[in-house]
Amino acid sequence: MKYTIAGLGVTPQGVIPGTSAEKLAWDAIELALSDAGLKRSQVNGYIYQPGFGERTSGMAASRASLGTNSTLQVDSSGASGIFTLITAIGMIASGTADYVMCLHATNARSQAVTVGEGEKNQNAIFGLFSPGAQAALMAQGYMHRYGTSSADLAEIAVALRSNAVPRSDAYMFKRPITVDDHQNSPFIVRPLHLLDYCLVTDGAIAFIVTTAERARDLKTTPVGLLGFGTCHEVGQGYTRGSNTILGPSTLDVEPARSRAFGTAGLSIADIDVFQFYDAFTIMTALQVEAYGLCAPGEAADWVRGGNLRWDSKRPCNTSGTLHSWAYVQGFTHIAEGIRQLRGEGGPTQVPDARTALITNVGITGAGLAQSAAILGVE
Amino acid sequence: MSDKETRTAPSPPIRVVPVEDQSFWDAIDADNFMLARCTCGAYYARSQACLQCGAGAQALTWVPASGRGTVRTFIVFDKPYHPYFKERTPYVVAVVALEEGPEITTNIIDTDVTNVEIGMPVRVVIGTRGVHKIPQASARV
Repeated sequence: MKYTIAGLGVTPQGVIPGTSAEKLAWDAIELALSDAGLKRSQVNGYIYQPGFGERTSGMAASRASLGTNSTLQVDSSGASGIFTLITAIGMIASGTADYVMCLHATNARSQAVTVGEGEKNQNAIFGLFSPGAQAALMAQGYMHRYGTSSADLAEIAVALRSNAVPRSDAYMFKRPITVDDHQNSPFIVRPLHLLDYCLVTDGAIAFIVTTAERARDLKTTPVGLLGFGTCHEVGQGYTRGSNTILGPSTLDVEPARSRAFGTAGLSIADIDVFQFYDAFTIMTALQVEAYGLCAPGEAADWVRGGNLRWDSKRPCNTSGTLHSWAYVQGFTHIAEGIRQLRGEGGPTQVPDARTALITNVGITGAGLAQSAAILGVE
Repeated sequence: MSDKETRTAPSPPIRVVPVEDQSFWDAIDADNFMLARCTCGAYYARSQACLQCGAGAQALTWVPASGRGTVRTFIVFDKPYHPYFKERTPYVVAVVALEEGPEITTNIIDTDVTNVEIGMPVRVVIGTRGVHKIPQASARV
């Protein structure tokens, strides 16, 4: 374990009117500094992912008076969270930084952002807008291939919600849903209903990355960064010369999967808790299948059998994540992984969780970006 | 058209034409549907390096295409994400797999949105969107 996350800052999440993305960013930075017990001047690297709604910048780092040698933006859409960790390690390994603050903040909810509205790209003239529409193209293909229904996909939304219900920090605390609720929610882009979509909320999350050696002097339990893998087949969708990014009904997670497990020296059987990216129900279905938790096309039955729950044999998405906890893109899953490994999962804490697999998925302008991280505590 | 109508009719989205694909869109404007063919025989719906033989984009030539294809996947928009489409929902956006191999994003027209199915045959026609021409896929084959 050479590199660690040695500080976590999570602001309140939900509907937070009257604030700005920069202010939320600053709040998360202060919380992370306090969690680590680190002096602001010691933090000499700053990486942020810009969000929907107001765009963040380096300003929060400036207001927090961090001692930055470098301030940079990392954007691979939903896959960015893990990419900030990878980039932070690169900064430390290159000798340019000792402690790197990684951050994402958004106030898209208060800005009433409709993601995808009025996009100006090559698809717009055909009326194809939004990441949700790209996911819907995947869902239609998946449903056709396996005979899956919308009510089947609903099982995923119901399970994710059930994980958030006991969590007072979740936006959907004490608000369970049923398959009927899903089926009665409006279509956004057919075949996807509103409840196939994740939340849009306001909030921010920050992490501090440093070496295991430096982390020993800090006041938190360091969480080891054991392995990483990424996958961005830029030809995907475009493979046949298409002008669309997605469409296939399968999800190839190689080399993200094999590199993450290979670098960590672990196998999937060694993982105690999973946090799969869940921007849309279909994405979760494709990932649990691709990572081998169930067979292709069987995600709905697997979930119906009691899986994808925080208290199932293979605990997944223990906070309800993007669907029901809050939408801080890939940072959401990393934060929940850290909390589980530090024993801070509250009512959905997985007993003795020592290892976590985190996945992030981004619908980018050039295909589907995936990143995977394995975190662990000794 | 009266001034009032001019003000209230929303314009369609901008037709984004990457300079690399100008030939494709020039052909569309002349009512021709073209694909880029590599010297190795692979086809593409845009200018790019060849994934099959590794040749650079200079190995590709724009040639007339059959326009025959099938629906690979599709979605139905009920909610407008742009003012122009407000009066035009529901409409279908599909990925169409062309006979020559490439896929294109387009609309399925000449049928009810509830009749569209994966695997159904379609034929590329040149449609209009405001002042622009675009390739669309007709269910009348």
